[in-house]
Amino acid sequence: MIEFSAVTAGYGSAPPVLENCTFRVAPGERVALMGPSGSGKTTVLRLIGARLQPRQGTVRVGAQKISYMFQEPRLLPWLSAEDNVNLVLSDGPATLAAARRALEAVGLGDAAKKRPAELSGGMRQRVSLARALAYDGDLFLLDEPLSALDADKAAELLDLLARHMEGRTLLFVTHSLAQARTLATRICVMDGRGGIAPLEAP
Amino acid sequence: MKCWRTLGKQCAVIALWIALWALLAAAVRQPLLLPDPAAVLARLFALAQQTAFWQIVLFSVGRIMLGILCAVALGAVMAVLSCRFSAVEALFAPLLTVVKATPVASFILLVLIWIGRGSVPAVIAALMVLPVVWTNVAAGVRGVDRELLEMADSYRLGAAVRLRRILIPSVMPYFLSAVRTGIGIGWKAGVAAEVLTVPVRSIGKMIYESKLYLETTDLFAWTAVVIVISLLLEKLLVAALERLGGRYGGEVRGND
Repeated sequence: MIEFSAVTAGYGSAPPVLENCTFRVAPGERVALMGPSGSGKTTVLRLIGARLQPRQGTVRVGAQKISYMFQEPRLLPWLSAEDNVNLVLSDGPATLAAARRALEAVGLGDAAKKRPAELSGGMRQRVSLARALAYDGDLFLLDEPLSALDADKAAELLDLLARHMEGRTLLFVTHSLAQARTLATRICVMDGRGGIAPLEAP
Repeated sequence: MKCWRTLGKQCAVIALWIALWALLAAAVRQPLLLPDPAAVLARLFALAQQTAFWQIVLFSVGRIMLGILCAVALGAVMAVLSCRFSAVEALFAPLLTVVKATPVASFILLVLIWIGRGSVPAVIAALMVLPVVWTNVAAGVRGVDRELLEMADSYRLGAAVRLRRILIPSVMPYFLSAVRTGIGIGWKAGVAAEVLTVPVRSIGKMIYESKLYLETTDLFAWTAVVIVISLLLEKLLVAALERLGGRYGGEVRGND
C-alpha cells in the first residue's frame, strides 16, 4: 500500500531530513514511527499525505482517501467543534449526527457546540482526532495524536484507537513506546541520519 | 449603568464644547465670522422642515454611496485577482500608489474636465475608497492560514466549501474594517467634490452657496448635516457589518 524507494526529502535548501530511505507498509499494517525530534517522522507522513514532494526517489501510496491528523489541530476558529468535524464529511445537516458521534467517541459530546478558542489544547487535539476518525480514510496518518492529553485520557483514547484501527492501515508518530506497543503491529525508528530502521514487532 | 455613565460623560463633553463655542461667538459678536450655536440649531430646524432639504440630502447620500459601493465591489474583486495573478498585481500596483498619493482636489478637477459635474462626487468617492478596500482585502487574502488550506487539501474539501468555510471567514475582518474606514473617507471626499463641482440638489452646492453669499450660519448648519450623516452612515454600517461578520464568524477590526 505504501512504498518508499530511495527517497531523499527535505525543506527548502536545508540539508535533507530523509536520505535514500526505503521502506514498505502493507495494507492492514499499523506502523509506529519513533525517534528523536527532527529525525524525519513528520516528513514521512507529509510525503505519504502528498504534502511534500521527494527530492529524489519515489513514494507510492495506494490509498484514495487519507485521514490525516496533523501535529497541530488545524481547526477553523470560527466553527464549532461539531462543524469542524462535519466539514470533512458533507458539511451539511445530513452528516451532523455522524460528526457528533465522533466527538462523543473522543469524550467531547458536551463540547460539540464550542469553538476551538473555548477548548483546552487537549480538547482541540481530540476534535482533530474525531475529525480524522469520522472521515474514515483507507489510510490513517496520525502525527502525535495523544501528545497533548493527560495520562488517563491518553489511555482511554489509545484504547479507542486500538479498537478503531483493527484491520486498518495506520502510520502514527509517537514518543511513547507504551503507545507504540499497544497500537502498532510494527515499530520503526528514525535513525537521525535520514533512514528508518525496524525496532521490533510488538 | 456603565453605558449610561459613558453616554452622560460624552454629552457633558459635547455640552462643554458648545458652551465654549457660544462664549466665543458672544465675545466675537460677528455672526458673519462665528454664528451663535443657537442660531445654527434654529437654521437646522428650519431646513429640516423643507422638502427640498430632504431631497438634497437623499441625492447627495445616494450618489456618494453609489460610488462607495462600486469601489467596495471592485476593490474586493481586484484584490482577489491581484493575489491570484502576479501580473495583475504588477500592472496595478503603481496605479494604486498614484491614486493614494494624488491630492483629491486634482482628481476632482480632472474628473470634472473628463466626464462632467454630475458624476464627479460618485467617482471621487469611489477613487478614495478603492485603494483602502483593495489593500485591506489583499492583506486578508494573503493572510489566509496556509495550515488550514493544507488541511483542506488533505481532506479534499471542494472549492465551494473552501470559499465558504475558510477564505470568506479569513478575509471578512479585513473587508469589514476596510468598508468601515472607506465610508468615512469616501463620504468626506464626495462632499468635497460636490463643493467644487456644485451639482444640482447636493449638499456640496448648498455649502458652496453659503460661502458665496456669506451666509455663515447656513455654512455651519450644512456642515453639521454632513457630520450627522457621516455618523449615522457609520453607525448603520457598523451595525450591519457586525451582523454580517457574526454570520461568518468574523469580527470588525477597526483601524480607523
